[in-house]
Amino acid sequence: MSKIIIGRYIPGNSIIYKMDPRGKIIAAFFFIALIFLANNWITYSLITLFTFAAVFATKLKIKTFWQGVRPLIWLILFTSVLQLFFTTGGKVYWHWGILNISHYGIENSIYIFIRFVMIILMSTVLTLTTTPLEISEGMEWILTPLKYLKVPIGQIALVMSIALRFVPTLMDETVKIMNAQRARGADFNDGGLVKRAKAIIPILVPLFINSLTIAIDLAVAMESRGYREGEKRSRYRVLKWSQYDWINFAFFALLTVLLLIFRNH
Amino acid sequence: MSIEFKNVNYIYNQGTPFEYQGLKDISFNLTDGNFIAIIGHTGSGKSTLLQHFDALLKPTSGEIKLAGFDITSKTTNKNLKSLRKKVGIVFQFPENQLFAETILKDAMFGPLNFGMDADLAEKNAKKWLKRLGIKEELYEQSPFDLSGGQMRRVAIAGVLAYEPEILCLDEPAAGLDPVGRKEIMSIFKEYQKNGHTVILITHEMDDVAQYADDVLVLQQAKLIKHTTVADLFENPEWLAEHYLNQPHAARFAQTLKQNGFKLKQTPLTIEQLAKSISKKMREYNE
Ligand SMILES: Nc1ncnc2c1ncn2[C@@H]1O[C@H](COP(=O)(O)OP(=O)(O)OP(=O)(O)O)[C@@H](O)[C@H]1O
Ligand SMILES: [Mg+2]
Repeated sequence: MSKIIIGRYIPGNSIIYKMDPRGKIIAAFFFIALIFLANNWITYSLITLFTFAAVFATKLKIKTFWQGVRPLIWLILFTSVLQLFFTTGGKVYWHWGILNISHYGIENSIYIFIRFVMIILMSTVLTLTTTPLEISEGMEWILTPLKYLKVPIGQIALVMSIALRFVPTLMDETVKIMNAQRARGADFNDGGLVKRAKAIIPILVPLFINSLTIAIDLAVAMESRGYREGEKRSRYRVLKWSQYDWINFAFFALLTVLLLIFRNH
Repeated sequence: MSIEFKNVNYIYNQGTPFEYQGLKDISFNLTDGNFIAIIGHTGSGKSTLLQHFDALLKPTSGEIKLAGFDITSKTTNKNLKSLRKKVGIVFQFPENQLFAETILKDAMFGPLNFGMDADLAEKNAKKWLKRLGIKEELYEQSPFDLSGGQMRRVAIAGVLAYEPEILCLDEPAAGLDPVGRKEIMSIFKEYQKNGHTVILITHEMDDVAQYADDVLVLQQAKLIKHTTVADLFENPEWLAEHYLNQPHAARFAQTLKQNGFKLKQTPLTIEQLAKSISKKMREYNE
């Protein structure tokens, strides 16, 4: 369970860590749009180079990124293989029933593969270098315009940050409860479907009760420290743009220009 | 038979950036039937060590031999049930593991899992609930209506109900009232005297002095001492260096000594202290 890397933050202090979460989130979304500008070898190579530059700029171990891609690699390969066999057009190299390997098929499957991997890598760059709390604060800022449509952005963001904050706590809690029941002879991997479903009850009941306790304690603690629903809140950490964000945007602008130039070659 | 740890290492989250070595090269031999205390500063690896007794954690390297089982990194999850029947663990805050509709059903969960027939399971569960001071009229009630201290007792009864050969306890008395603490500690002592091994993690040096035979001291994932209780508390400087304390009686004797009243032997319990003081007074009078 603890081996899952997607969505996990690893402390560090390279330049990407110093960028504002708002800028990083916008850039990450923008990147997904940019990928669809790529349409030939040169532009896909540019995207790949750019992504690897971002990965290296985090100064984190490459292995960590590989752990982020690995759980999805079969899904990606599967999609690529479908593309390979079902796309028609260009020179046909091999043919069997409805299956065929064509020039376009090969090209497309490689493009799809690159697209997937680069999107995963770039989002991993975002989540590895930005704490969940920062991401939720950044999202809150980005969604601010919705306030005028009477959407309670502040509260939604608070609920989101609390949920994110308690994911690791509840995971630890689950492991603890599972261990306690295992010690009492519970077996979670044995028997048929019904037996297994029944075996979950001794985990779910305490987990549910403990989460309620945590939630009630948290609510009391928040209210006793002055939290009131709907009141305007000041911030402990104020998000501030810095030169690093301009560097970030400048690189993305450069990439956009290059893609626009080379996509028509 | 005995409990043997041979060069046991344990690494949390191995192969990730969150890698952390929880146990470093731990080796020791414990005699069956003893009362053993595990002490050490917070975060020193006591709970990590305890989970190895039940193969809830398996050593990353090294070997453990206990209750006729061999546990290594290659041990599979099959057949662990018969090990866990022989080794009971009461975790830190065990009240968080209660789940059944009634107190009695919760206490019967372990025995039934380990293959006891329903009658015997009920008999055992009742016996230990009673021993831990849970009144009979409560048996059919929900465990969640109990007080924290009572829930703790139900959870402990749920482990004792299958009468494991080796009973492991992770700070079982933390947060209990003084009378309750004494009560359950003496239940554990009695359990040991009836021919079982008891392993207790605690921060209370008075409990170590009063109940334990041997002590394991952990510091930063390493075993830094394995000795008898009397020997451990002989040296207050060494204890202080390792963030540990003497029991109250020994500290009292230490203060007496600084004021010119020296006792022959470091007393470990209040009884020993009282005895040596009155003995010395009598010598004065003669
Ligand atoms: N699931 C886990 N993943 C990673 N590290 C862990 C995990 N559980 C414990 N640790 C680390 O291992 C070390 C030892 O933890 P352990 O719980 O064994 O300490 P302890 O001696 O029982 O402390 P305490 O007296 O506070 O209960 C701690 O530094 C802790 O951060
Ligand atoms: Mg502990």
